[in-house]
Amino acid sequence: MSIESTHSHDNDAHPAAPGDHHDHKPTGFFNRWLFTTNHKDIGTLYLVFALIMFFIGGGMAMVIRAELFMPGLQLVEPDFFNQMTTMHALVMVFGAVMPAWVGFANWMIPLMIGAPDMALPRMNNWSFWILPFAFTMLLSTLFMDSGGPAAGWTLYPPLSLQGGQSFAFVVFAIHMMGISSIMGSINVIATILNMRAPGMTLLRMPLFVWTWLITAYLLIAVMPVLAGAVTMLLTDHFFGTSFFNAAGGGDPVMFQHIFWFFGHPEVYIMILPAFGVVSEIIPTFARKPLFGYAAMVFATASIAFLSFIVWAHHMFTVGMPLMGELFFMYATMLIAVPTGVKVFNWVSTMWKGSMTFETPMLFAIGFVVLFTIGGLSGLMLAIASVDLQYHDTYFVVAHFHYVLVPGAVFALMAGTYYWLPKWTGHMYSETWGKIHFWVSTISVNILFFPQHYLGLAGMPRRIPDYSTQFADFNMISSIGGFIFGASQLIFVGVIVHCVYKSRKAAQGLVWEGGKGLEWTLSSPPPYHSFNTPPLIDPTTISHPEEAH
Amino acid sequence: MTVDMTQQDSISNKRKRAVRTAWVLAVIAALIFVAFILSGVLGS
Repeated sequence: MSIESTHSHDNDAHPAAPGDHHDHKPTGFFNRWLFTTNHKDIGTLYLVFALIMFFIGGGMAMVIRAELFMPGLQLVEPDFFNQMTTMHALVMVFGAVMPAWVGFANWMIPLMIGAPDMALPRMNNWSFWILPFAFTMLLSTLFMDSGGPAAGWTLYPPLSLQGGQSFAFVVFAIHMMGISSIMGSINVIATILNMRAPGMTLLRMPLFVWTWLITAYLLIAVMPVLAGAVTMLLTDHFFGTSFFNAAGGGDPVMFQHIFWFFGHPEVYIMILPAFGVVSEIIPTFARKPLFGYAAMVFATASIAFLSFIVWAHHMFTVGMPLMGELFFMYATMLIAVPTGVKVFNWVSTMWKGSMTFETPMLFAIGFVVLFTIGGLSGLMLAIASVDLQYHDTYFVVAHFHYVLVPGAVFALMAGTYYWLPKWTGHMYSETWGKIHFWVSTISVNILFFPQHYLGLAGMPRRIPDYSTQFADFNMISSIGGFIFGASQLIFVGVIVHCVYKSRKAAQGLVWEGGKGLEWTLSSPPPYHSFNTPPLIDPTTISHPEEAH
Repeated sequence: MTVDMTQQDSISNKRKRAVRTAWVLAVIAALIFVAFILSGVLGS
């Protein structure tokens, strides 16, 4: 249940709270947003940017689903279809999900650990502002003679090297995204390790902060690997080297190894912060402490470690020694253990709790159920012998979309609804939030569940046309896709209404079960918060029962 | 409730330590990048 009151939209009076200070916002649009070093402003910039990219990437998904609505070529040329699948993935991964999590990190980490701001505020500004330029460059390739990248987001050579001059733009854009991510991660780690309020020991930190700390280490470890791989692609393409060119003594399979050494941890980079958000939301609405806090922390670290030794499960069909296949198969299956610990702990937290089902809780429960479906299909794909059948089919598409859409994206929505009143000082419309949840949940299953059957029946991924035997499930999937895409307009409507029109003021403690430092501040929090460190005691930490 | 700043690290000291942390992490990231390029150069 939320705690709210009705008052005028001009919310200028907040209850005094620890760490409140007078606002000294910069004046003028450019001063405020272009030169800002404030973690809340930069968090907002990241979130708005990510939302825009969600709609650009989503528009590309609509093109894909419209083309696949019926067999035969309907709307776009095959090469443009390939550009859409490639760009959809690049935009969603690097432009939407990752920046959205960095936005959450910027907004919430300082508030959750009692820090006045991120440790390196100017670098924070820089790491955001190179992103719009990176994506302008990436998207501009769609308007070039040689078109955008069309070899899939994995950029496998030799296919990716057959593109035109625009490939240089793609590589440079990826470099800029990588630099942005690394700077953001350095900032997160430096903040968490150095800026915590006195008494906020590591094992008192909220789970969201823990998951982001581990995610940031993952990012620093693997983004330079991607940068190295695309740099070698660049020199192969333009400077005559043969890193991955078999004719020149190189090895294209080596690219796959390097790419997936980055690519698999990347999956966890997108999902670990989701685990953190869900671990904050479920205890709040179950009105119970998180079950097994320490186990959750160690499970997160275990998942991160295992993510480095499973990469070749993406390459079973390439051919590798039997011992290699067995190692990567069993290592992959091992990830189910810490992930299972998490699901068990979320369910145990809800067990016998005084649960209410506001929109953030609905999305969190939706996450637990639907992400688990994605996890189970991942276990099926981990089995090397059957992966030979599933590989490069729509079963894989269904699997990773279950992990990333009702997984990561639902957690982003859950987190948005959970903290939106804190960020804006206004309550969103609970009715429209619930409508958004139910329409999204039903449509996302209509969209992705039939793709399991398509894959099992043998429909390959990344094709604009298909055999007529696949027609029915593709049509159902596309209808689900159109509804899911349209339903996200409700999300935007709820946010815009909350920010500009809502007359219901949010109190500092927005949710009655909320625990943690962020709830000790007014809603919205003052522009500069925690300039004086707060006192940490069992009433102000998120998971007090486990605190040491 | 707040605590007296004199009992705690000042924010500027914390930021100085954070800058040192940042440099260490940046060097690690740069080394990983160079190592992967070098592995390609030496391996081909």
